[in-house]
Amino acid sequence: MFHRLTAWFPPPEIAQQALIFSFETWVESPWNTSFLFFIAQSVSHTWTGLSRHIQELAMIKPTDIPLSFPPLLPIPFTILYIAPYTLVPPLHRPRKQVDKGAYATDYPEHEKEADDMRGLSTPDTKE
Amino acid sequence: MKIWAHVDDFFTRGPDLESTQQALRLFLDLAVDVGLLYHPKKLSPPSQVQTYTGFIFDTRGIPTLRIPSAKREWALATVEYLVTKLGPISRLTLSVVTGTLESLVEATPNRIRHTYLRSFHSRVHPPGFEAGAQVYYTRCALNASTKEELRWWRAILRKSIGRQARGAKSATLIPTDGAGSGTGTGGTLGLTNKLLQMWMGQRNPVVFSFSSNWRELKPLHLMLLQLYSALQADLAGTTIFYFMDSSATYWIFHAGSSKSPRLHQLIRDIKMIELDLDIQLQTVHVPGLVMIQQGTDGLSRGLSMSPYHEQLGQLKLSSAVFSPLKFDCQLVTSTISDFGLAGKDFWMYQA
Repeated sequence: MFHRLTAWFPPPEIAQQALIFSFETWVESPWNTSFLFFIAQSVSHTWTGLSRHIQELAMIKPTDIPLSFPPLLPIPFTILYIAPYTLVPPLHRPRKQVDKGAYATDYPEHEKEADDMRGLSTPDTKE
Repeated sequence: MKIWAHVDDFFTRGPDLESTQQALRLFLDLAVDVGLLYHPKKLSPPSQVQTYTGFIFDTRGIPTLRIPSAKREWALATVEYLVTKLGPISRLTLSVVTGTLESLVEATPNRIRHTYLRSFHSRVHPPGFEAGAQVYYTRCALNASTKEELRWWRAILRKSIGRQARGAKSATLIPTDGAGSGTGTGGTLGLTNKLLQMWMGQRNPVVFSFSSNWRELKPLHLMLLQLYSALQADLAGTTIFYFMDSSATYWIFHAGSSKSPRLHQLIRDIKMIELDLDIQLQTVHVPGLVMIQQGTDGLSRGLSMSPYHEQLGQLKLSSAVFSPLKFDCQLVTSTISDFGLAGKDFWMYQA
């Protein structure tokens, strides 16, 4: 499984366990390990929100594409992909490690209002 | 013996004084071995009431988790302020209140969480602003739904609330199926000699447009209303078990929240009665006979009515539902090329 792309066709009821196991493997060597999952949609999407690294590539109906071994029932299947990790340069964050877009012109008023609610006093920002 | 260590705060629980003190010594010795030093003056001696991670653990009677008075009164003050607040409010401020109330959820009856915080979260994070800090520096008005949730929190914070590990007594409600055209309910067992009347009826056509989940949950609401009028005085501190055959409704009620406004309102009504009666409602999912015979849930029921049922037979049909896709080399290679995925050599697993 390490250092390669592996394709998995798990039974739907153990799909989430297989995904979590694969994901735990992936974090050991994320740079060059990746996974493809083909899961029949007989069960609910238990992987939703599990991790942002799990991508849902497509939902395909077996009748829409030619398959070497078409399933008995035309249940759609989902293709999931855990990609090799790619380092992204950090964004420039000028203050307090929050998004740049957060600095609306009236942000001190928001901070003051929230601090009042917390029962804290706001330090004078001009100092 | 059990020991909980939460960052630099720890908690020891034992059946008697001697074993608790022994566990305490063991833990402190271990802490020294790993380079941590706990100051003896900061330790609270063994007692049946202890404060830990912001909650009071009271084991004098039925184990109960309580909120310290100062914390409760502070939360109440923030809620009072918001209830009377007019005009728009900073989302940063609203997130402070939401976080404060979230921190109290563990000690609320039945851990009522999203039932009365759902509107808060949707106000703090409106659609399209799920990520990033920018949204906190905008303002929003409190809508009727948020005000209603605030009033619930105000009512509950005015009491000395807590969550008991179990009820002092238990009772059972016998359910019926409420999703079809009829509805019904049952009686109480093992609580008092007063048995409730059983009843059944035909649904009014006005509810036909309501979802089946709503219709499954409505009998519980009707049952609780009947309990409220018939046995209110006898029910305080009681755990009541309610059996339902709909797994969807079971999970919705368990979560205490629904995206459907009508269903969410019904859950709120039920939770409010639960609070007024001072009972703990435990729902239990019991699949219906047809589902048990089929060995599956609703999916197979749907399939049994499909044209495939005649062609394949029940056993083959059920196994086909849960069988995996067969490994298909062509499918994998076409996926890799279509989506431009890295790596031409792959390894396959087939169960």
